[in-house]
Amino acid sequence: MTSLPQTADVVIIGAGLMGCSTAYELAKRGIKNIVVLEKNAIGSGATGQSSGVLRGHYSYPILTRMAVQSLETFKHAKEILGNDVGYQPVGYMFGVDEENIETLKKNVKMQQSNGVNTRIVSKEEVKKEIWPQLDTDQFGAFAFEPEGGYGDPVLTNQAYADAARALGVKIKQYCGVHRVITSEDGSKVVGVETVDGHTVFSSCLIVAAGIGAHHLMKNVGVNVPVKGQRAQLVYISPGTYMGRVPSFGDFKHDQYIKPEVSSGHLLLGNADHANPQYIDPADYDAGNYPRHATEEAIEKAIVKFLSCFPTLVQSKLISSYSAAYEITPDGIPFISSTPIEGIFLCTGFSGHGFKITPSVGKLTADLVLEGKSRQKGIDLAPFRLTRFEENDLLEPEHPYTTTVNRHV
Amino acid sequence: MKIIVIMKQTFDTEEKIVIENGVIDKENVELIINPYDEYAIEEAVKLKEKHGGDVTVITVGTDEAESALRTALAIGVDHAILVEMEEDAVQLDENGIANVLATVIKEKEFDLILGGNMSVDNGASQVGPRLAEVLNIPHIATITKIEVDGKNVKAERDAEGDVEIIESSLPILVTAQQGLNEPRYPSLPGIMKAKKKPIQKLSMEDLDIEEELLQPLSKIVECYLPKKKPSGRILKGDLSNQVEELVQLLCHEAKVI
Repeated sequence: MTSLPQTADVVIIGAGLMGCSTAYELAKRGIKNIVVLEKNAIGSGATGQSSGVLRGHYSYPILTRMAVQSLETFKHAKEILGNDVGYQPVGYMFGVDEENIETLKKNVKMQQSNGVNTRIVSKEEVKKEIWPQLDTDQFGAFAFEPEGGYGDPVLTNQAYADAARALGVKIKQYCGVHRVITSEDGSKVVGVETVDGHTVFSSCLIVAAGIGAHHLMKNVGVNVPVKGQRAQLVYISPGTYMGRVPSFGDFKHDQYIKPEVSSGHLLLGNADHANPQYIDPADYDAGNYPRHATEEAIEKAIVKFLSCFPTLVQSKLISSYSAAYEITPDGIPFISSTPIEGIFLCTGFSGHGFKITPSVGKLTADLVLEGKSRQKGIDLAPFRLTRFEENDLLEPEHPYTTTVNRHV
Repeated sequence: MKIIVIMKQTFDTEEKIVIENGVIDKENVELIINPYDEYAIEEAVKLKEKHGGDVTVITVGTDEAESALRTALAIGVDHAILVEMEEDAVQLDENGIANVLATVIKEKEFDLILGGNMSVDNGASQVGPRLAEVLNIPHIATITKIEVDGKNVKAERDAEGDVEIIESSLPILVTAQQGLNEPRYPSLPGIMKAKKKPIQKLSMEDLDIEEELLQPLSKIVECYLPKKKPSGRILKGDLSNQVEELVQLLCHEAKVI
């Protein structure tokens, strides 16, 4: 195991996707002596609970651009990171009701102009070519991205961790941070104290601790509005071989479906966040939250699924689980400086971080090293912590009316 | 064929067990059908599919156990009975549970009773055999195969690694061992239909059992987690030094030589 140095040029809290991709980007730009502290194992937090869907479909142009930039890394992970990340280009399909046909068309146009390989597909084409078992009649229109699909969040995380280590980054697992240490007047970061009593001095700290960012920053007087939200997921077997089917964002029923190529199983996720169940950050830290889906949630998922696929009467329930996403009030992450000099945030990915991971690593490195984005068309302003008090939130260009899911 | 399955709801085997003041903490824990009872349910449904008849599942528990009964109904069981107990009611031991079940079952027609060979929580392996005793019928425990032909029953049982072949006749009680079958997953339409099926609920007052029969014959004296295994040690140096050190450690530290 890597021993803990007394000083570091950069300390990162959290060895999930964001912590590791940031560490990798910083190391690639020549930063030496980077230490990543992880309270559990690599990818054991929100990363390990991610569904891994890859899509360019957003109604926010900036997130679309981040997804487009990131897809290059997923596609060429072996060359870029040196390891496979489980990229499965099964395609990504997006379906809306009658009311949102025009909005879908506008968004697809916006996405195309930002480099997404996407187009409107007819119901007939969906029925014939993409997903014959889907009852397309109840939908208004569909868009399809052949290069979307899914990746493996844990493999991606490991690939970033390995690539970062190869560049000299030290990743210390099972090493939780007890507190952030600031200068006497509280204006600057000095270092961190680990749970087992070690101190690492550093003038640069990146908090990529998911929900944990809340209490770490609260202790130094900064309010980071992230909290846990329960996400309940259901695994089913369709009971019949369906061939290659895409990841599917179903905005008619507010659900998403992710296929698994290896097993033929489907993951059913809920995208209706009208009645969110929150998890207190303290409970989350203590591991004190339910890991199973409720009967009610399972029933909801089944009803939605069977209404989309009425002929799949042989479909079977395999398992279900409950994950905790770290969410922000507007569903948009924090990639931000803080009132404390030397502390940066990279958290709050609100259940849609995986697909933009490579871009986030680059942006966070930009923020830390230069104070501004070097990524074309991707401004850091929408991700700043102060956006709520300044009442200046990122708005979608063409918002869908059916959804309460703000981050699409 | 009239089949009855006795079932218990238990903790998910993947749950982390937390003991507080000698009692297992149930908060946030997922409850499932005892895995051995799942084999019993699967076998009951298979026998029904082969021979006709119906399957009734019975459990003794709090209202939380309703979800386990619904799962059994989704898998293909026809009727479900919940003998409802309050969470803080007198804790019944295996003797008490067997007498409660016997009181319910005595009123019913049955050919075959199936259960798990043990529950994964308490692991006493007593309820099935005790129930057979109370009902005065034969029983075969830890079966891995069963064939029913008219009134004749032929079963294979796992006798600590050996296979015993036992012949008997209906009515009989058998308990399921791992290997009996591969339990099916409930179908999605089956789950939705099971939501609407009635569950017969009985209270202890309804059953009106003699106090004496419910008296515990055993008592849990203490409840504790297994000791944490200390981490291993890797000896270094050349082989002869390592052997020498190992012998020293076995003699003086572990004190096993």
